[in-house]
Amino acid sequence: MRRVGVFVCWCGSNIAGMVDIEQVKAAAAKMPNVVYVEDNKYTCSEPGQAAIQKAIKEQNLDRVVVAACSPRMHENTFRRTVSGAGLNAYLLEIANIREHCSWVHPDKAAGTKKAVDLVRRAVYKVAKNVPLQRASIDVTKKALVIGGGIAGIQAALDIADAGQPVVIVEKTPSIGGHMAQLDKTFPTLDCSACILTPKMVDAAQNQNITLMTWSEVEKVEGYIGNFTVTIRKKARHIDTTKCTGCGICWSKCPAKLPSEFDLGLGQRKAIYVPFPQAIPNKPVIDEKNCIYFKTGKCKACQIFCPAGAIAFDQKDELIEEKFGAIIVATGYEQWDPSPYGEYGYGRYKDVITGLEFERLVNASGPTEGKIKRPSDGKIPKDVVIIQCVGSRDEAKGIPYCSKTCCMYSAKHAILLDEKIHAHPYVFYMDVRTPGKGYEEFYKRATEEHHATYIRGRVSKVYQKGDKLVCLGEDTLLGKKVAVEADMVILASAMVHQPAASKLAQTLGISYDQNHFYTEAHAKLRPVETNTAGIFLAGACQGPKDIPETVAQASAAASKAIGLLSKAKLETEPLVAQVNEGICSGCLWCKPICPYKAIDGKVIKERIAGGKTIERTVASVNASLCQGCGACTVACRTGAMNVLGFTNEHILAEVDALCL
Amino acid sequence: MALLNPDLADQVRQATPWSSSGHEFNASACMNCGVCGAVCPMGIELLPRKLFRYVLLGMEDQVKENTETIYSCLLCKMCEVNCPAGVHIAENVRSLRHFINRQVFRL
Repeated sequence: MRRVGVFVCWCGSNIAGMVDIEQVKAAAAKMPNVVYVEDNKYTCSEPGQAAIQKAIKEQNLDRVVVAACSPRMHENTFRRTVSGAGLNAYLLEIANIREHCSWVHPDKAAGTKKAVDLVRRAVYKVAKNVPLQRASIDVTKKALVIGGGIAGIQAALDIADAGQPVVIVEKTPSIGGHMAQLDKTFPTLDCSACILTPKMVDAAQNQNITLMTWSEVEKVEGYIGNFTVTIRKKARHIDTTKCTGCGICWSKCPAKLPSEFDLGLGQRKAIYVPFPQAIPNKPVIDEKNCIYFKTGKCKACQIFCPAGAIAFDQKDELIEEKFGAIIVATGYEQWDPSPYGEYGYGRYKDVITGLEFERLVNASGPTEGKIKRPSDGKIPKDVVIIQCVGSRDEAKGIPYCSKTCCMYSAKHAILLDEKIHAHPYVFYMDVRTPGKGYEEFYKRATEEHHATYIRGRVSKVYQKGDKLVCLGEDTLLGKKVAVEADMVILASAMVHQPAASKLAQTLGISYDQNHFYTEAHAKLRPVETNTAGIFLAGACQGPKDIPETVAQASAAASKAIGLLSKAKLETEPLVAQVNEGICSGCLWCKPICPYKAIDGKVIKERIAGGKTIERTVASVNASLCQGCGACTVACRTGAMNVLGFTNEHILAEVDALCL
Repeated sequence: MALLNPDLADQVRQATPWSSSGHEFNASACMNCGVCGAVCPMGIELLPRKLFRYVLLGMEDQVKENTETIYSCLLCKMCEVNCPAGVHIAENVRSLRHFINRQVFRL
């Protein structure tokens, strides 16, 4: 005979509004093994938890059922509660009468009936529960940061400052990310490079940080505390131990190409560093465009290199390393506004994107900071900025708001007035400025820099002489307007990295319909993923500006530090277990296991007649097993069981619901 | 001062014989960006942004006053293909014509 206590939660009116608590209590009191029933307005609150602990002691309970919200919400809370009262944490069962019942039913009588059924299921199951013990595993004290933009750099610096080693893997030749491309940053207008490059240098000089640029994550195996990651170190064709970054090689290289860093507005060579402040300040050879790789002749860089650092025969290297935690900080990409045929991007040279304008106005950019029209190099007088290009447009672009465009458009308006006294016209649908000092910044653009804000969307841009005519409507007046502009800036949306979904599959994390990575809980676990030990930082999770990105990076870093500072990690005991007595050794479970946790092993067994034989049975590695249960379904003899969810448990639940 | 009447949109929906087919009057996604007016080949500044707003707010007199405008629409759907909010503008105008037929022309 068990002594089960049932605790029914009102959850304010969340449950009590659609479920008759008194009826549930009365029904629960009549269920087998139930010796105590209590209700509470908020069972998860301190008095609610104290009531459970008091009842365990006073009523001598040996099993507990909490009828409340989803176990995803509070199972761990109540496990701590019961173990605080001296009971094993796994002698607890949750009946979800909120998400599975009160929230989804419009009828109180039916809702109450279902709540009673769910409580009965839990009561039947909990009677079969046995105490389970948590095991512990070691933690590899090293973190991996994927992406070397401001998010990755900040996260790595924080982890390194806490004394833990970090590796940054960056796919381009230099760390810095998109922030390195920007000119000024809102709302203070301090120069992006001036605040970013010191951090880049810090990252390079920190003893705890290893930079792996021109590298990509190829494979990820293992689990929290013990990830095994294969990193492809792409051939740089430079011996980085010899190279001094003197720059003679790229000044001598004859192959000229559009620079990715300058978004095609400037040029680079086939041997190049993406920008002057690049870290590491060591070039890479672009194999596809290098004349030597294409024709077998040239070698100009090798001839002129005073350090003898050119290594044409370098090959890609695969490096396998172990990590305890992973931070994903892969950032965003600017949306290509070509689908807007009416704006003429790609057709008119003077229609540029916001990021391209950043390069034009940047002192290290292709025009050395002079704002010139790409077509004829003239200094523009009237400039139209179009907001929400791609964003908030389900038909042609993406449904969400990119969050940063309102502010960077205001910044562009201010820069245009400040630097060349051009008149900015901003076409907007809404101006959204939630952030510290943001509204003031927007006001500065309109009041001090006389930006003309026009509420309306541009319908067409066409060329007239050397002017670009923008047609639109001022919706506040209800009148059509036209602006003759010298240059048009499209505030293009922020979208996911092209390879975001591929990396998510490599890591085993989830992403949403816009290919941004999904956090474990939108409000309460914003930097964790649903895969334990993998955290998110920056715009790979959704559009973000720099302050928010840095804040999230530090948050992710503190989560990783917390994980790495533990000597051992406790594992969930809800894992698969083999009944070796009836396992036939077919190992059908082995290929089915998604975590590679099952292998065969040979056991010795005495059979009738005193003979000893050897036979193969399945064996589960408890620290790899995640308790998904795929093997239990595949097992033909029923030898495989997930602890806490054995066949016996499931049948008890079926009996409770169907008999 | 116009008294707002949220039932007008329902009346427009009910006036439409095909309202059960899923193409009933619906303009609540409109962000008032004005691209519809800007691309209109008839240069109808009123249509459709303001007109729909009259309907959604229930300003019946203003809707009826604009009978001419409602019938000057070509249903060319220039506005519809450019609408970032995906409002079925031409369908909405057709719904309104049914409403006008009943309310103004007593057809």
